[in-house]
Amino acid sequence: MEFFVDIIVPCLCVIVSSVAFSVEFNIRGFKLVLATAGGLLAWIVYLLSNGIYVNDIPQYFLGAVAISIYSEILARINKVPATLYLSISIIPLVPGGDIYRTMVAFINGQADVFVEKLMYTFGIAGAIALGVFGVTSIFRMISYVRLKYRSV
Amino acid sequence: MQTFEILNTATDIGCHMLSQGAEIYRVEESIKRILNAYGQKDIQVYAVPGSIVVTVSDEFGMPLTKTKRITNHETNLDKVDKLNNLSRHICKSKPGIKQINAQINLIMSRKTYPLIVQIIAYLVIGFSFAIFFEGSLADAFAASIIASIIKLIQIGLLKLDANEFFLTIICSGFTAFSAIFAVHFGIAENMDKVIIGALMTLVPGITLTNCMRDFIAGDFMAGLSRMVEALLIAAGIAIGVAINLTLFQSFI
Repeated sequence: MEFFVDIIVPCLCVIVSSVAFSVEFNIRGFKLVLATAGGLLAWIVYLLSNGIYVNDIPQYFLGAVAISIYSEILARINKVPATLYLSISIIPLVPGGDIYRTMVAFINGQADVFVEKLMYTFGIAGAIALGVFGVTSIFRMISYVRLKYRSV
Repeated sequence: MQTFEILNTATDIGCHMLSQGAEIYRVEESIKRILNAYGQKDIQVYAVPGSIVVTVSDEFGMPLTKTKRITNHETNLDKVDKLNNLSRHICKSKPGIKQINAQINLIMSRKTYPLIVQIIAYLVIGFSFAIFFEGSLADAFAASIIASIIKLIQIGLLKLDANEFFLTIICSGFTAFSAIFAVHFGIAENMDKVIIGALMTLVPGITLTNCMRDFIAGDFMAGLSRMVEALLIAAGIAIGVAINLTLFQSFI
């Protein structure tokens, strides 16, 4: 039962919401399936790395790295902009709950809780950005090298 | 083919890509490659999220510049993908201008998902994220109803040309207001889960992704402007919720 509540239900939620976001961004056909798989991948990597680290900021980093690699590879195979997969896959990693709690602490005037939550939220945002940043930069260098060899 | 014809067409393709949610470097690269494929020299392209400037020189060295301002931003990654393929195709097989323009029109008139499907998508997002953030079924139902009303508010206010910041404040304010009273009247259980679930529909996914990708590609102006946009949306969400949580404190 615990397995069901902790793992299966969130994964189903991620799948369903990724499909819905794909519809909102007008992604069609088989690409919708691939984008949804990216969202699921983000959450599975997050869950698999659970318990390795003290807090879950590195888990967000690993999730971001996984979906960036996934979208960049698919983009090169299908000749599709990587944004199409990345923008859907990244949504399960958006820390909606933490942003909300940061704001509530701000309204209630709990300065210490606010600062703590804010640092944590910024940590997550930074981890996701860093993951995407590193992977995409490496892939850009690879394409650059390939382009250079082809033209020689 | 005249220089001005291919200049116009290439800028059009770039302009459409940008307005449908492509990154800056993709737009600049596409325009550059198309112009290059048709033998234009001294191609200079500069794009920011709000405009594109393209300059080429004709055979006498006379510069020709085309500027396009982009005011409407939508998110239609399907069209970005198709335009991207079109620009690859143009570079490879160099079709005539009439053919290209026909192709562009065909892509721009591609169907989007019907309104009812989009509303259902919002409903589903609200429902699944309320569950995702450990809300109960009642919370999820409340979040899904609120999320679908958010879509209606967005459509209505966009028809009145509302700016994005105001729109976000109204949507998040409505969410917090209805969540407070849904819990007050016993329809839902956890106010915070309802609010978080419904507000996930407002997450600017494309803006965030493009912001990062623009920074990576070295387009700092574009990256900054998108970062400001994302931060303004986040601030709008926070302000909308904060106002309601403060005004209706006694009902919480």
